[in-house]
Amino acid sequence: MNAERISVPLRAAATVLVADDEVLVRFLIAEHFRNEGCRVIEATNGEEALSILRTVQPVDLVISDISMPGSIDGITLARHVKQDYQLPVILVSGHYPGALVTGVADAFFAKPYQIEQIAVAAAKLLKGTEP
Amino acid sequence: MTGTAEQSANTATILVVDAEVLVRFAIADYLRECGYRVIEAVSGEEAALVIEMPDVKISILLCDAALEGKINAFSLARLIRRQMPTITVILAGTPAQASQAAAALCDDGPNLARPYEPQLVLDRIKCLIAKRDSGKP
Repeated sequence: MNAERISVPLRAAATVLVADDEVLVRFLIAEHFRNEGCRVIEATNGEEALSILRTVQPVDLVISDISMPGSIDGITLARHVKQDYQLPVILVSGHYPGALVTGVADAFFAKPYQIEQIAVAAAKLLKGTEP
Repeated sequence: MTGTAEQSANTATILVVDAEVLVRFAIADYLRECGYRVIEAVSGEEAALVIEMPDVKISILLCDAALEGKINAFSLARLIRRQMPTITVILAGTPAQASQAAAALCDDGPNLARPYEPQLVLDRIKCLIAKRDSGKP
């Protein structure tokens, strides 16, 4: 599986945390951002994502699926991220969650999405966190 | 290392399978810094999906020997032995019994200890790839 390259300039050396329980989806997103020069950390559920955030610093952006197994879904993860780490969050889901994402996510994309859509949103959000 | 082996090492894809995110991330991150393409899986089920991807050629499987689930470490090793014999299997673990059982399924024992010593993992991977590319048994 080869992630398509995009022309949207992402902040190289930015650290992106990708949380998704589907290995092929997670790999596709992660590979895309790595090809753009980002450091990518992969989590397979919300609990893993929080473990990463507690121990691996700094993370610049979180991209998460909403539906994940375990006690911490993407919405809950996003709330933690916003409250405790003040990081930008992009949520994705196969189902539109309505108002649930309001205030907890900076961007939302319904599956199936184009990876370029996420990349464009990520580039904007990462630009806003530049030191 | 020959030119061919060097090229192979630089482009080799390693599948890291570990249920512990911080262990998996640490060794995967290290191997990426060493120039390898690394795919991460949390379970044997995920790993089985990855090795079936038609356009991904896995060279090395690095798996926690204590991996549990429907497809545990040994089931995964057997699956790869049967379906993808070109993939070199490295099982890592601390329980002596598990290591001994795994040895029969692994290439070039002894097995790696876990927690990982990153340099030892890298040395083992380089050695296995070089040996494979040189055609030596």
